[in-house]
Amino acid sequence: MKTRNLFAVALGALALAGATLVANNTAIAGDHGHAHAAVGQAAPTFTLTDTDGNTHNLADYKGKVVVLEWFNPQCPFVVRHYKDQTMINTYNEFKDQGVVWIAINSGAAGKQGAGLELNKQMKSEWNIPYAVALDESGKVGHMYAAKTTPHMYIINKDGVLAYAGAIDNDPSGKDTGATNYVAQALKQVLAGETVTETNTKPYGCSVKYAD
Amino acid sequence: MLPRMKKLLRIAAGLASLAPATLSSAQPASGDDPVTARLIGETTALVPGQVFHLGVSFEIDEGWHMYWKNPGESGAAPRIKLDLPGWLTAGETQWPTPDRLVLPGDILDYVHHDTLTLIVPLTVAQDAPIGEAAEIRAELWWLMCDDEMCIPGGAETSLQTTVSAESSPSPFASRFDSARRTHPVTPPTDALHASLSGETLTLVVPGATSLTFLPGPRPSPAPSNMVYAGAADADRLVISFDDGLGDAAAISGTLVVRDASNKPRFWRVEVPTH
Repeated sequence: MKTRNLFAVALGALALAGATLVANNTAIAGDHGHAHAAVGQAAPTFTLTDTDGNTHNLADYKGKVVVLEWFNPQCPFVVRHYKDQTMINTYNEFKDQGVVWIAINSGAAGKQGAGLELNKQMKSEWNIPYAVALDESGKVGHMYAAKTTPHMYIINKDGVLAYAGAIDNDPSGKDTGATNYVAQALKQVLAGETVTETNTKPYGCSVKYAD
Repeated sequence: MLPRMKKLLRIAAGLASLAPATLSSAQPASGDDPVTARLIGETTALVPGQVFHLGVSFEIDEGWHMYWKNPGESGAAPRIKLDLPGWLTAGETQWPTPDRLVLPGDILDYVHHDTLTLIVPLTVAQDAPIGEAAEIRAELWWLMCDDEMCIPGGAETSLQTTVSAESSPSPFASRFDSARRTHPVTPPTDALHASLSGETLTLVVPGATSLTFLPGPRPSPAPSNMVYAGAADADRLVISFDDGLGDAAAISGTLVVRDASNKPRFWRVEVPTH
């Protein structure tokens, strides 16, 4: 742990020292020991346990389309989307077409929205029909470079990342004609079409990582 | 246990303000909230034919932050909705330069600590009624975060003033001066060498010991890898735009320049993309 932190500090210091390291930024991406997920490449596999005690291994879902939603039940942006039913409606629209949806909370113990009890409670309160998985170490969040709650990813039937970004184009929640990027990309992925918008800028609270 | 309860109550209070319809209270945020907001004027009155500077002033508790107009990879910029008499016209909001904040997970945000004063220039029409009382009303929404959490805040607040043939500095004038100290200005001739080659922007300031680039919000294109490329103890920055430049006419932002004197300067960067 200590060595890794020192390594990260050393990398950071090197990066600050000048522009020469820019060309080597792939090395920096390995800062947490993993290459980051990228659209068009194989989605990193993981195993996580949800609030009901079930384990989810991404490899088990090969042949299905998987949506990952970075989640924090106390982040105001997430609260708004659950009040508006954005995620649940999107899931309901596609669930019969073999779409698996997993909400992932990468908040570290003690941070806003973290912890088994709270997430269990909110899953029940909000009637969330899909799994809420806990990633308190932040390992999976780091693999996907998840920055915000919500931050959305779509993995196609071949296990390739097809979309990364925002749920929609309406950060302020005031646009009734917002484009739901996830619904748009899911339609295209399921129809075997090219995804028109594969990367959008996610918005929300920062993921409350431990490190 | 108790601080946790307090926080949850705060969240509950904050959530209520998320829905615009429930923003009926005219009370400014106060008391236990990490951020309090109020409207202030730079001068004591509105003078017909002149520009009145309205300040939307936030006091931010230690450990908390609010967001710049480009919040970065998370967070959200505060929003101001003004309700003005017909003879007042609002110009573009002027923002001070934010701080970079790198969070665990290499999440880069652009934030404000301690105080934030947004300046809105209000042009007073020639025929504004001298001697009359005037009320400037604002509906405010913001997101505030500390290391652990983010909560929304909101307030409906107003400033009572009058239309007069003359005005003098208000007791709040110094806050405007402080805010303007970090407003970006046009760099001196030849002080900044900015060049765009393909999707790579190079900014060079001869003699600088440290540079920090704070990219403007859209439509300015989003640079890549800014955790490492956005700041350096060097006289140059090399910033790539891996997602392309889109159809934006220019890359815009603020460059913070330090040299041997260590006194920061704040420059406006505007690099045409074509």
